[in-house]
Amino acid sequence: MITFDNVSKSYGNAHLAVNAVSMEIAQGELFVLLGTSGSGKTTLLRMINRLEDPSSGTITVDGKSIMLQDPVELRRNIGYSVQGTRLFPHMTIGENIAITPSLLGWDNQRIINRVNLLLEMVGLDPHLYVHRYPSELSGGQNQRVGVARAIAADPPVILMDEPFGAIDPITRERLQDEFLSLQAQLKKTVVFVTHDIFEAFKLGDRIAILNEGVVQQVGTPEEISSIPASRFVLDFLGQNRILLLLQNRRVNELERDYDPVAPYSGIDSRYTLDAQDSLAAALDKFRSSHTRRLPVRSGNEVVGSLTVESVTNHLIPVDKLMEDAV
Amino acid sequence: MASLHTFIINFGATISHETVRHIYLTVVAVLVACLVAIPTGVVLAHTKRQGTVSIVLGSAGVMQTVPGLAMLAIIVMIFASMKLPTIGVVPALIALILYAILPILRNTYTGIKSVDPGLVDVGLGVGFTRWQILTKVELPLAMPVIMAGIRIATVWTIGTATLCALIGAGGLGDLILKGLRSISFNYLAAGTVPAALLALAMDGLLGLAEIYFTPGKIRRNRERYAGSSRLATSRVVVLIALLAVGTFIFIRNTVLANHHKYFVAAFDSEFLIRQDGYPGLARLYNMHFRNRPLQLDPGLLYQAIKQKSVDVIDGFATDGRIKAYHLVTLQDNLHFFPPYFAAPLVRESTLRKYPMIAPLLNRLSNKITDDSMRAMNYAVDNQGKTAASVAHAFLMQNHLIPPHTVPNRYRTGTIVIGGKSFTEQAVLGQIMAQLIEDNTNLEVVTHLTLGGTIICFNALKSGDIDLYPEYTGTGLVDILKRKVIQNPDTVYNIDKRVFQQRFHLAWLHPFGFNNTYTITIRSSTAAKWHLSTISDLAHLVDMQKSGS
Repeated sequence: MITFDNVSKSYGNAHLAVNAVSMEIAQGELFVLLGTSGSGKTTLLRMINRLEDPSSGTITVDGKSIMLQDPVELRRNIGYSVQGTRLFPHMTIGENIAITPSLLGWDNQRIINRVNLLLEMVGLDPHLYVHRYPSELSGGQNQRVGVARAIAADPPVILMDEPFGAIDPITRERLQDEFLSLQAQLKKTVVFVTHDIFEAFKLGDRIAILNEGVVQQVGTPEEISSIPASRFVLDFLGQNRILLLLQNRRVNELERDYDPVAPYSGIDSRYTLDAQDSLAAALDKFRSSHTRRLPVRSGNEVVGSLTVESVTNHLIPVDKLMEDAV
Repeated sequence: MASLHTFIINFGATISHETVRHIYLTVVAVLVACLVAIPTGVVLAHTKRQGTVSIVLGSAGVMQTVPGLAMLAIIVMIFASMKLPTIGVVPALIALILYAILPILRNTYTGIKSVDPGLVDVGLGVGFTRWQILTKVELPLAMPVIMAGIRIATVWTIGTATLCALIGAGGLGDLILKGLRSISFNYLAAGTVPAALLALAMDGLLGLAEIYFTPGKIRRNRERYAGSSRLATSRVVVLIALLAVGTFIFIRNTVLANHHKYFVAAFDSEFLIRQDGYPGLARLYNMHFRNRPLQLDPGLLYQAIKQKSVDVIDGFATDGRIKAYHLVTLQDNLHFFPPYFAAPLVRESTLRKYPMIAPLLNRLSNKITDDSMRAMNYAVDNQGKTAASVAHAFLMQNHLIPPHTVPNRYRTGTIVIGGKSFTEQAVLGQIMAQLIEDNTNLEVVTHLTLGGTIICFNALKSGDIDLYPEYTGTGLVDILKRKVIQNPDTVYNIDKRVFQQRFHLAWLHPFGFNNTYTITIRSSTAAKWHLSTISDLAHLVDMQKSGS
């Protein structure tokens, strides 16, 4: 859907903000650009809708080079959402959402229907909110409107630059969940910039880790947490790496360690591991049950049991793999 | 203040006329300033050249620091050198526009600069064009700040516009100047109160416009900006009122109650610089006052000497107040002053275009004696009559106009009559105006409060006015820079010949009276010190200085 071919960007000095990036983003994929500030992730994102133009290299969207397209036309066909929402304070919620559809010349009734539908999709009652102004809504509500505005004209591609950045952790968590379920319905191609490792690993189908304009690694969350491609990625993940592993690996990956004998068959879900549980959830169950061995269930069937040592042992060979890989 | 009531009834039409003119000056100036300043501000806010921004904002700021009076003077000088009209609405508007530009320019620049760049970025991201960003995002968001700038500019302009009366642009300043010249509280109030009310009303009106133009919820922020303009309004209102009342009281009390050991002289600004004025006089009579002579408006000189705040003034021979205020004129024993016979000074092109003018005006030849001129001046200065009514009575008495004139709607041309800003010129201007209007099909426009000789003369040369009353001595010494000659006929003939050759201007027949400059003192002073000539005065001033 989106390809970068040897894309570089400099601002007139020797330093390259983006350095020879080549990668491909597939249709319907939620692709995260992860990095610290100054890593070039936002520049990379802004080049997709030509808010910045590359110094060299080519970017194509849907097979067409974006440099051959009128930037204004291009932007009207790509959704855009940024940190702090940046809703226009002098326009109502409805007007904000309606901008791109009306720029594209949709007729009024279609715009009104679309705005109402979108407000419902992001969980805001259209009757209550369509005529309100952004200053009358909470930060979380505004953020939902920001997402609605980005997808208003039903664009195939959506760019999001830390859209949940300036929000309290609990609301952010909820917005992320809502966005995931929205994305599950819509199947847009989303390019999502964040500096938050947990957000990246929670949302991303794939993640690109950037440092000083260079792509350090592209891969699924599992691939990156298992096999960091460089010393930088290893350091970047740091202590979070073990947490990410615990969160991203599941009990069924330890199938080889199952003991066919279950300790007992009285099934209490609090004290039974589910094959789909993350390793973090599994450790939590060991902790709260005060036992070193718990039964494992797949569906409604108990398939064996697992010891806490087999879980912790599982982390160690992986650790070795990482060191080897580096 | 019962007279104020009558005054308002009598002058209501004048007040409303000048108010409308004031509004006209203000609105046009602010509108043009908006047309210049808002686009400039928008361009400045978007340019990457910080140097240009500071140069433009800096020079606009400097323009603002030039006092209003100086700004008028500079415009008049520049216009004179470019042979553009130096009196009337155009130069006044230019000065007002230059004044109004800065607040609008600065606020437009600030307003647009203060729009969150992130919003502009998002605007581009959602598909606005650059122009749409400007019209749908930046301008609406900057509107409260821009409107505040327009409000400040409007209120300032209303204040500054009062000065434009000095160059014949009219407006409420006309009334204020009249009040200042005749120490009339009624005139002062008639000019000041409407100006202050106008400032408040305009500010209020623009406040409503601001609410109308300000979109949605950013109205909430309005109070932030409105504060500054409201402050400006009250400041200007207070300033106008203070200036007016302050000048009034200052002259009435402070200056006028001054007791002193030495003679204090006060002259009008023209007398202070003319060669046939104080510089030449002081040289010839070797008369040097201990303190530099004060500069006062001609209308205030008599008040000042009457109330003993000064002891010596320059007077006009035909001024009615000399007698009324118990003043005496000192004999010009060394023959310093030339004769000042008043006569109409007219453009030759006007005489060619309207040949009936010259014989008509020459019917005034030798019709006005020193005494009758003095009586007419006195009627205006001290009996509260208008120059127009005095002129009318004079013309009727001398059978110069038909007793019953029917308003003539079919005017075939226009004559513009000028006059310097003192009473006699207003009376002579009105006499000539009514004479022409009632005997011809010409329409007459009068500008009878033009600052002084130079302004009148330049306006005549450039064709902004067709004629004005001038004095032979002024023509000889002040305009032609010749030496003083005492024979009245010689002076008139030199003026007539040289003005025709050099300026294509014609001196018509003199009215008959000689309004020479005089050195005027109180009769009590004259009696106490046995003063009868200017030499006596020079001697006494010298003695006072040496302390004996």
